[in-house]
Amino acid sequence: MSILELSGIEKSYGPIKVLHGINATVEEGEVFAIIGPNGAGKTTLFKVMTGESYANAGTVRFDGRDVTFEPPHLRTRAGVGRTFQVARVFNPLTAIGNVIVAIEARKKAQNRDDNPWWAVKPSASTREEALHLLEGVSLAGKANFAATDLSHGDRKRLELAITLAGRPRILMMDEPTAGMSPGDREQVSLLIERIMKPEAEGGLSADGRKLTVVMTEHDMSVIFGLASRILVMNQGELIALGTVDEIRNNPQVREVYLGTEDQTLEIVA
Amino acid sequence: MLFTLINSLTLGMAVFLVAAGLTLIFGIMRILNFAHGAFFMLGAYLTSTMVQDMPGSVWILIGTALVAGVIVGLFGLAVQHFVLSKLDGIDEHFMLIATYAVMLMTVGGIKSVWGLEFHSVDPPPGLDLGVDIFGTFVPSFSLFIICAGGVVFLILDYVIHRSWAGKLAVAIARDNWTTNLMGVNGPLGTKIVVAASFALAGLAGGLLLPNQTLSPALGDTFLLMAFITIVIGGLGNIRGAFVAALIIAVIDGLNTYFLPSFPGVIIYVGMVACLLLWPNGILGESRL
Amino acid sequence: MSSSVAERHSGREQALTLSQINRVLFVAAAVIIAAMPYLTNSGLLYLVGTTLILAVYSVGWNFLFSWAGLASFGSGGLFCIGAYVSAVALRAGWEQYFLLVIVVATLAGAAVAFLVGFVALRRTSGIFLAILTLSLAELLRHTLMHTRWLGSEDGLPNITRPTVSFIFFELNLKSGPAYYWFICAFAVVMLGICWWLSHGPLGRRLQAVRYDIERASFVGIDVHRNRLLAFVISGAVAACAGAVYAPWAQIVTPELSGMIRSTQPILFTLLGGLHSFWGPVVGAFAFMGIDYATRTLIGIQEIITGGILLGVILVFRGGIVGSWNALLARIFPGRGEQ
Repeated sequence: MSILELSGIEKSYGPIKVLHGINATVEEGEVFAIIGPNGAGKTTLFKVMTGESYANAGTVRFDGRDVTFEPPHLRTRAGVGRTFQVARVFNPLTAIGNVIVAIEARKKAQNRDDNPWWAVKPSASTREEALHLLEGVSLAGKANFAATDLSHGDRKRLELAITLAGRPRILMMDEPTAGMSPGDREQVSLLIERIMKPEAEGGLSADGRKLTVVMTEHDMSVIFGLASRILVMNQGELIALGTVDEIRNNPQVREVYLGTEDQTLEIVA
Repeated sequence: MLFTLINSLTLGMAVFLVAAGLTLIFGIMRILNFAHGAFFMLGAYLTSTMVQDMPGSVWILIGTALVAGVIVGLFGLAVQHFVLSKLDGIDEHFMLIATYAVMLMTVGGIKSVWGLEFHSVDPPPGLDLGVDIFGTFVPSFSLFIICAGGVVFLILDYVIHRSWAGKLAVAIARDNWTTNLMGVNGPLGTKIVVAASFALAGLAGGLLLPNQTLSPALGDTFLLMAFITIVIGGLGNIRGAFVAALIIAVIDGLNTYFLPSFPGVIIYVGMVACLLLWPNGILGESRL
Repeated sequence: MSSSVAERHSGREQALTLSQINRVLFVAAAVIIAAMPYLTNSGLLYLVGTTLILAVYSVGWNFLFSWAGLASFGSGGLFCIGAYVSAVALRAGWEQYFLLVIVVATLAGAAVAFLVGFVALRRTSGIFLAILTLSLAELLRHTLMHTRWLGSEDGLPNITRPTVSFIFFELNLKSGPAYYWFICAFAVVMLGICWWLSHGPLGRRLQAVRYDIERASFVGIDVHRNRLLAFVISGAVAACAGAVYAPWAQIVTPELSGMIRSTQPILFTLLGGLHSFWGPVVGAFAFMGIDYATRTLIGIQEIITGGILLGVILVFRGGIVGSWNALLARIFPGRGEQ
């Protein structure tokens, strides 16, 4: 069964229609990329999928369940993790404090609080898990840094750790490499590839299955390196959906998205 | 019935006179000014000092109120220079509390200059009696307040929505930075609007002075009503404030008519209800 | 200069760390407060007792503000509700059940806060909440002013201090010092509960919401529910403080719901130190000192209070606690804790 199903998604901001009926399904364990020129509606579609805003028509199903109008905290508890284009973390807290808050939120939601009711400090197992996650994103050395003092790239890693603390089954990343140098982008690609794996294989996906990733991205080398399938959008409509090769050879994509034919060949090659 | 209506309308317009300046300063600086009530009071005290027990005529009352408005406007410039201009970009709660501190200092100043005694001033000759409308006795001072509210609204509405100066002010309120780039002196524009807002508070204090008991607590009552008015009307929206003042007048009328033993209770119930029904204001929030 | 001080204290084992210095001060202050009945006359004792109650009330407000990031401008209304519940019960002669009365008053405050919060907190705008809470408190004040069986504008006077009966013994709180010590015990219990709540998992969740509301909901925190919980707790603390206040002042009036009462915790918190648990307590006592010192100067008092507040906002954003800690860190560098 598909982990995420979008059917007939429409969304308007006032009189302006931004999404014109998008249909797509995301399979478990794949990396699903959404691309399109600026203003194509990628971010809006992303927001509808995560619950940041709700669709005007159509349904979003997660794991077979209708979550179209479910608020973000319930989707997060159900297993949807999300990162932002500009990393959003709890600035005044330390790196480990950030992750602890996220772990405690998960444990509380699942009624698996291992702390006695009177305890003030987080439990030992919570702290351990937080450190483990920070290690997983190579931030263990900066666990006691205030999040404000971290660099742009480290904040993205921290945000990833916070998101993984919720033990998501699907990870939604809005432009994970936005504003990074080419070297850092490659690092992020490798990181995503690694954390997707189940824990037994050295990854950070806690429930033994491979993590599903949905991402929007501008950098084609990141996309072609990671993605198993690509959804191409233009002006609020889906113009193509398929594997990397299918998208590369889709004439409509070339025309609408990548511009003239000469450029296309250069970029794709 | 008509008597109740006129009375309520008087209250509504009185509240609008106070709310007008309040919504103006919110429009330009995004500051909810707690000190507004205190400066309203300052205007009233200044006017009372100038006219003593009774203004000589209507025109003297209007004239002294205008003078009080100018003086309070100058105070406003000082407040803008020393306090408000330094609050840019800080948490909105700090802004609220900073203006609250200004209010405390102003009230303290009023207390130390004029003392704690109650003053009262009679309406000027010509407004101290009543007129007969359809067999109902209507105090002519009430009619004066209603007219004053209407005139102030029309002038403000014209200046903001029609005149060149108003358009500049709107531009500054919407995007100060870009407006500066276009060669407009943004800081000066802000100063003028802030001074105008304070001057309106002083003017309202002067105009509403007769028939009020002047005590250092006067500002609070009007301030709270004015707050609710501008929130109901939509913050920063002058037309909204006018409509909200009319709504308050209607609610107050209903209160007097149906529950005379609880004056002022239904009016607050009504205001709370309006707040909950239209959290962004009836006419929506506006940057001037 | 500062480095030489550090050298003089190079024997680190003997030197107190900064938090130990503060702890010593804290204990000293607690001892002085507890010994107050032996140190002062009844007038000043009354002032200190009132300040203690207001300090607890302000800590409750600050829990909402510094932890959940919500500013209520109507907490006086909840304080007033607690005070009236307690006043009515004591005048009806239920003094032996005083502790139960306090509990009922606290629950009443919590219930009202729940109703208000349930409707009001869906809006995130701070100004909206400020105006709404301000008008609700004013609504309460006007209603009380015209409710005859609650004494209208004059309020309820002659509230007797109770003799509380436990099953095996009785506790006589009729005298000033006895009730004062009861206030001390109340302050210890309430401050303890508040400290525990703000430093535990709930406190961490609320802070997460304050720092970034969107991120908080995307780690699975139910923002609305947690804020509502903080609102209810804060309301319960205010009503509880009000219930203890009524027999101490021996009179309650509708003015308890006025703007002055509602803005008190804001001033205390700001002067004492924002985002600090003990800030409101320090601020309450500092304000008491200022008020007491300027009590004969009509008008000047407000000017000084306002001036201090402006100074805090424009210059010393950390308030007394923040500035004190910064000062300590400057005088004794290298003694902070890791």
